[in-house]
Order: sequence, then C-alpha cells, then structure tokens
Amino acid sequence: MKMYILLLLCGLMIIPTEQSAQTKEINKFYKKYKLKNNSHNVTIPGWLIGVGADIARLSVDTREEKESLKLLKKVNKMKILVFENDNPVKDKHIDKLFTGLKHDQFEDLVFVRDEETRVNILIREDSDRIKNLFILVREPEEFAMVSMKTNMTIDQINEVINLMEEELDTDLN
Amino acid sequence: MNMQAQQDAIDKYFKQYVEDENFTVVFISPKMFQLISKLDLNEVDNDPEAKMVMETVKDIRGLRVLTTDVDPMLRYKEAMQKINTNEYEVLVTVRDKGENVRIWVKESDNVIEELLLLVGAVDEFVMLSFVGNIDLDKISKLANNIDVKGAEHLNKVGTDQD
Repeated sequence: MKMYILLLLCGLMIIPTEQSAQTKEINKFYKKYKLKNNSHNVTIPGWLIGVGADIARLSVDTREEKESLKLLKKVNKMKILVFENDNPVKDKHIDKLFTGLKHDQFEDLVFVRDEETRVNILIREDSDRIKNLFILVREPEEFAMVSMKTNMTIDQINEVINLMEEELDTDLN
Repeated sequence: MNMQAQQDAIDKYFKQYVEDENFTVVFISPKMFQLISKLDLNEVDNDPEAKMVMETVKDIRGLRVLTTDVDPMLRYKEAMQKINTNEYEVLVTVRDKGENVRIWVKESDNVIEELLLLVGAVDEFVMLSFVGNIDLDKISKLANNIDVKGAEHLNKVGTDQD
C-alpha cells in the first residue's frame, strides 16, 4: 500500500519548475498532433498555474493541500494533449517519441499495461533534481499526454509525503 | 520501454509474454526504486513495518510482474519448462488447494541477484521477478505487503524460518 501511494505521488504530483524548455521530441510530437480533430490541448505557462495555485490555496484547509499548491506556483510550463473517443496517434510516432526521450536522458519510472491500456511514466533528473516529468496514457480510443518542466528536489517531495502522512494520522486518530 | 540494466528471467525467457496482450504487465524501474530509497519519511522512524519496507527497497533494482487469467495452468507449465535450472535454483515449492507456487533464485558470488516467483492456479498465472541484491529475510517480511496472488508465499524464503 505504501509503495502504491509513493508510485501514485510520483506519477501525479504537480511540481515546481524553473524556466526550462520542453524537449525537442515532445515539442515535435505535440505540434504534430495538437491540430488533429478531437484534440484537446493546452500549454499552461507557469505564471497562470501560479495564479491558480494562489487562488486555490485560499479555499483549502489542510497544510498538506496548501504545501502541495505552493509547489504548483513554481511550475514553469505544462503541456497537455488529450484525445477522447478516437486515438489517432500512430505507434511509429510513439516509438520515435520514446527514442527521443531516451536520447534526452529521460528514464522510465513505471510502465503498466492492462489489456489495451498502457501507462508510461518517465522522468529526467539532473543533480538530484527532477527536471522533467512525462506521463503517457494510451488506449485504443483515448490518449493523454502530460509533460512538465520542473526543478523539484527529493526533499520537496519528501515534505509533501510527510505532510500527507501527518494528515492521514490526524484523520485516523 | 527501457529494460532493467540487469537482465532478468522475464527478459531472457518470457519476452513473448510481455508483448502478449492477454498479460497484464507492471514494471517498476531501477530509477523508481532509487528515488524511493532517497526518501526520508517520518513514518519510517515511527513504524517498524515502514522501516522494513524502505530497507528492502534500497536493495531492489527492479520489479516486474506479469499476470494472466487466460490458460493460466498452461502458462505455468510452459514457464516451468523454460526456466534454466543451471542458472536458477528452486527455493520453495508449494501446492495448496489447486494453487501451484514455485520460487527460484539466481545467485552470483554469494549474492542473490534475482528472485523469481511463479504461480499457477485455476484462475490466474503470475510471474514476479525482483532484481537487485536480494536479502531473503527482508523479502520474506515484505511478502504480505505485495498485493499479488501468490506473493504471500515469499514469507517462506527467509533463512530464519522456524
């Protein structure tokens, strides 16, 4: 259970970032597919995420939620690409994307395949800082890609996890 | 998908299962274990079980799980025939209420590099491979924390069994 929580956190956490460009392959892939029919895509600049986080912090109560949202303020850029009811993404472009990611020093964290659903989570780390986080979810009729630039340290992740545990202990007692 | 630096039995003998869509595949990379091992959680200081989990994780360099409910007993027999017994040594064999479990280890220079668990039951086939510097006592204590059919039998691999 603990391992599962940690995996989810690594896969879903929103992380602080500094200015840093998305990788070339991710950009190429994003540009290729963002104009397709049924595409939902958004590039969110850091300042907008920061404003959203500030607003959200006003309406949450727990320290854990506030600290998590504080991290959001440092997000520099996030790219999201989603297809619903139709997945036009070709396997060869996915292969090329992964080749490019590996070339850019991304490393696999987790891969899960269940029937026709595939989930990949990759990161790029530099000097004990997580610089990029990349999540890909694929099904025959659906597709989702989330790419973030970050400057998160393990200590910052630690802090949020410890807060989550504290909150959990408080709720249980 | 980037494979573990250390090749495991699944890489060597069961690649076709990884590609087979009848199988559910879970891969936790060495990088993920490395990140987890760097965490300094408060809970670890207060909870012996959490401490034990984190100590075990430090030595693991990868985990792969394959499961299927399509022809599970056939897959089990197939898998048993593929394991190279010159490379892998049987540690535990269990047959209990229609569930067959076998645990192998691969050792090198007195270090257990891989632990391979195979489960063949009427409803499911499971293959689980840990790679790293495996401490059997630590893995055996982790048995009940792994939510995979048959993994509870890992509690038999410890050296301090009664």
